[in-house]
Amino acid sequence: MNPNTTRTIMTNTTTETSSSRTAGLLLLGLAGGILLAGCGPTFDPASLITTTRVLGARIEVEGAPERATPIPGETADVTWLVTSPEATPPLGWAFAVCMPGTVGGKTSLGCESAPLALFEGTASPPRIAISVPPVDVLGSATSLVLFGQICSGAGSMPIFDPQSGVPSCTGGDGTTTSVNIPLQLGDGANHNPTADRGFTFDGQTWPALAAGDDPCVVGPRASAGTKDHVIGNTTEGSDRELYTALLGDPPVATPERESLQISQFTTAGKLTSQFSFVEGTDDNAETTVDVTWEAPPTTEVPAAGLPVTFTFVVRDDRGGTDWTSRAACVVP
Amino acid sequence: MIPRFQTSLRIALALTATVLAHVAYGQDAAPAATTAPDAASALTPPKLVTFVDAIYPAAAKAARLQANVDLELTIDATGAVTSARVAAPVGNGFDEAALEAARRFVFEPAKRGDKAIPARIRYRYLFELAAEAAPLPTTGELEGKILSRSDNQGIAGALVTLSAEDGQPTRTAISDPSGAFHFSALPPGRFHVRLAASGLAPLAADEEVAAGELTSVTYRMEGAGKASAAATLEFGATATIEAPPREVTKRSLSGEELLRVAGTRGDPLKAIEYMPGVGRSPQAEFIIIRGSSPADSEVEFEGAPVYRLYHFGGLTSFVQPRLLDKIDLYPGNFSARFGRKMGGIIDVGVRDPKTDALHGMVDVNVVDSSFLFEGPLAKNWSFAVAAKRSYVDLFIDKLVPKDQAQITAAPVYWDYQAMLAYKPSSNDRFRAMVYGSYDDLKLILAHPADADPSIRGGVSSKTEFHRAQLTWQHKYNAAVEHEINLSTGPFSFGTSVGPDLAVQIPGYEGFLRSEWRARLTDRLRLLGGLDVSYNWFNFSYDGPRPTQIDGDPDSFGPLTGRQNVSLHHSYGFLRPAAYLEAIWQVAERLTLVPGARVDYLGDVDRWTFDPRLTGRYQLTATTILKGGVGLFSQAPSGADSLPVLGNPHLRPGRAQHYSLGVEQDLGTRLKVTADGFYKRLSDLTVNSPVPGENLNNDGIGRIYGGEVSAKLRPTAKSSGFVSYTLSRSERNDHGEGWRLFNWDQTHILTVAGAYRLGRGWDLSGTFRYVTGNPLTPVVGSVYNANTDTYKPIYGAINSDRSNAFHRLDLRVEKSWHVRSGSIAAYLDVQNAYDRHNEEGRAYNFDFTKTGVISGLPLLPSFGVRAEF
Repeated sequence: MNPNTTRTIMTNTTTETSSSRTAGLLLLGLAGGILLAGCGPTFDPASLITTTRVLGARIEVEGAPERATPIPGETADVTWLVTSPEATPPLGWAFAVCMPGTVGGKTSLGCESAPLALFEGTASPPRIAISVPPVDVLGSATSLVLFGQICSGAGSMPIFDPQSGVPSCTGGDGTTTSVNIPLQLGDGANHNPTADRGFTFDGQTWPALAAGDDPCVVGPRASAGTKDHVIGNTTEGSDRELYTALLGDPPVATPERESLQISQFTTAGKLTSQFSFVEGTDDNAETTVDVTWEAPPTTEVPAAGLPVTFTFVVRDDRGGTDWTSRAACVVP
Repeated sequence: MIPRFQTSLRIALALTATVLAHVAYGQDAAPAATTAPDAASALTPPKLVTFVDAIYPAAAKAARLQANVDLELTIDATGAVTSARVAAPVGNGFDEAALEAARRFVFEPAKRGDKAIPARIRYRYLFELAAEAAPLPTTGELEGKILSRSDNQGIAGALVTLSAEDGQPTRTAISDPSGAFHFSALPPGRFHVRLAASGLAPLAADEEVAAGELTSVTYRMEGAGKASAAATLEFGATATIEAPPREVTKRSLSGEELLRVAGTRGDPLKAIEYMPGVGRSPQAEFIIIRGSSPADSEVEFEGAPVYRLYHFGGLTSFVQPRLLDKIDLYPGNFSARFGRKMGGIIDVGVRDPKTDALHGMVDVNVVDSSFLFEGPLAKNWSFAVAAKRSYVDLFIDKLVPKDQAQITAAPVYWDYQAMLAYKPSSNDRFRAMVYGSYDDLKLILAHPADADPSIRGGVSSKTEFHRAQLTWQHKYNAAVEHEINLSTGPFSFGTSVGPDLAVQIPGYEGFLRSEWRARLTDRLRLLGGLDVSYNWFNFSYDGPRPTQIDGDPDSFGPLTGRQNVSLHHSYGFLRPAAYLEAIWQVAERLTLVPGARVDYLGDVDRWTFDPRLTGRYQLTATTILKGGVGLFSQAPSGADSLPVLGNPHLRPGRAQHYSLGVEQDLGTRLKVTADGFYKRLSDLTVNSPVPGENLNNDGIGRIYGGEVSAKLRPTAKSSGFVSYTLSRSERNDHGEGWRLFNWDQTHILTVAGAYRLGRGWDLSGTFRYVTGNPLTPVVGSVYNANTDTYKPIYGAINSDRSNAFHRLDLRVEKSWHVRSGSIAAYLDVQNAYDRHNEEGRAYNFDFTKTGVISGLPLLPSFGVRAEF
């Protein structure tokens, strides 16, 4: 898929409800998309941070931050990762936590029932402490939904359309966001993975900068316009927990291993892909995932050099999240 | 009437007398006269008084020999023949017989003045056989003329095959340059006549021959004034059921028209899209007929439904074009023969192999190569074998950017057809056919898809089916015939996309149709039969639960974030049906066709009853009014009735069809039709808002509009048609109010034409204008922090529309006659003016920006074809 065409909705590329046809058509559209990559519009890739963006949410059980699944009655802290090309602007946000619901028979990302709690603030990053209701309130729910709006820009706050319920911001840009918070209702706890196990840049160890460090002084350097810079991201097998899932028909308890989805972002240049994966079938104790980066052209690089921030967000299959960042410098 | 000839011995006499200048036999030689003769010396030759018939030599008579025997006779003064000799022998006994008879001739002697004198003369005795007296005749004759329908010119070289009912050996003749043919010495009785000529639609008729009579007939064949090796497709534009036509609306395209539709690369099945009433989809295999869902219409190939008409979603059809015999489109109010569908029917049939001689064709173009060989195998037997294979796999890796994907199994398709036909008599016809199709593609994505990380790793798609088919047609007599058609074979569909979607459906299917056709009276015919289908398949599915596509813009959204389900089970279900239909000529001008069909749908355990009625009224010799009304039922499609994925308690969908129309002939070449239609749909399968219930039948729909078309009957020079459809297709789910259907296309205009320039040059063009499909606008998005993807927020369903589609396709072909065959080179240019038609909308990762995805640009396709 052309990374610059990040989403395709084909007009009426629909089919019988036969699942094979749906999948087959998806494949045809995909193959056609590859072949016709030059026949569609070109957009900035999702991996390029050009505006204030929400990149993830981390759930931490109060008192056990490594755990991502709160037990009913516990308090879970949800921290949102918001980043910008340069300094993050002031934020205004509002959230509601509610039971998960359905719309048209499908799981909704929003609140389809009366919220259990409302939150509002301007802290950056947004951080919300959620008291998980007891089991008798939860009923059959196995998770909670945190739905809201994060607005960027001084004084910009969320507002909600009374008719449609669609949120927006009083001024500036904003992002409607949702995160599903799985609950631990039995013995199986899920733990957040660790994003920072070690990075390399063009084969060299790439540590995180200390606060206040200038990447153009201490960070790795790349010349403007150069290509094929390899960023290596080391992951550990311990970050992909084993768990038991009900799979198949009829459903049977099946041992499974988490996979890791790594989202990669940069404030300049071009990454070959927004995502990398370490699949659950990978049994290695350590797996390095590479992504290639192309430095921005000379026209975008000032004489003093251009600091570039890379953000890596790691997710497991079950709601665990972590993130880290690195910095480099592009020189003319 | 045959002239009666009497055969008898007739001896014609021709007397050649040469009066000798001098006297023989003792006559005093008269001194040479030196003065002019006077009346007293005038010479009178001898005159035959008594003729004697010679005995005709027996051997010569048996051999039907005739001869002229020159004799020299000496006649004395009494007139008796005193001497006879043969001046020039001819043999065979004629000399002796002539001498024996001539010696008994009696003459009036020659005279000089009044005085009798001897003479010597030359005499030619003629031996001729006269026509014998004939006994009563026991045989008759059949003669005829074969003319072109278009210009009434004689068709030379047409093969005329004469088959007797009593099993007498088949006789054949070839028409002469004037188109004439003749069969003599035929036993009296009924004969089945078949005409076949290259490039023309075969013709068949039954003729009666009486003893002692000559039957003269004239046939007019359609297609070309002169047999042309370049026009090789032989099929007609008629339904398989006898005239008069029973359907309210039937669109047919002839072989000539279909082969020459620009933009189809000579693939008649791709020309379906250009037929009146057929909408347009970016994927050609989704056939949209009068605003109906693609799932509501069906393509029947030789009596059995085909689920994949084209390779890879529309690239090329799965059957050899030159085997096609008919492509009939029924956009609504179709016969009770067809069922289990609410939309339209496309009935595709192949012809029997040619029997006149061995024929072959090889076609090589930039996408694939194909061949066809056919001909007689033995007496009453004929065969055909065809195959096609793509070679996109040879260069696809050069087209796909390596930083995007790695092709592990390049897309490849192939198909094959083989048939044997056996016609032992005019009453029986057997045909065995095997055919199949195969599509395969595998690739490994270099990176996960942006905004849909579930699309990663390996993706694959494989589709194949194989069928064996037996057909038996039997005529009990002139009024009753029976046809049995049995098709069966395995199929397999498989698709996988990354770790989140895997589908495998291998199975087996069978179709049986047993149909009786009877002419009860001159005004009443009945048609009835059984139509049975059986499916067994092993269904293995792991992936997101599929949803109904119409009205749900999310249905083709990202895989990421969906709830995955699994279903692994085997299923088998039977769908038998019985139907009965009458073709009743109520009055001279009025024909009604009442019919009914009963179906049992084993997959949902439901019975349906579909009564139907159509009628045609011949207002004038050139004007026909027509109308129809009927009920049509359809079982839930695909996996809709399966547990986990769908709802096993679904009811069949229902449709009421209403139509009125008129057909008007304008002159001999132009036919104009106008049809109005209305369809009301109920019990449509829709997504259910009830938790735990995937689907239900709370959908209704309505489709209404009109079609106007004008068609030129094809000639050797030209063919063409224009059609325009104005329609509206709407749905209403759960009583939420009417909205546009996903495939509502308000205007559909098609103009197609072909012209033979001469000297082997053939030019054709097709222009299409279609209103853009409805779209659901995106008014916002929600960031899903669990998957790092954005989910669009939609506005009113189908409240927007994509840009209109229009395109011009051109085709030029040049053919050369080579010995007994031809070679043709063709260039097919799709999108001749490089229109950037909108085929979809693309959005960026968070749906804040959008742009148009264009379809294929100007696309030339070059090929070469050789035929004999």
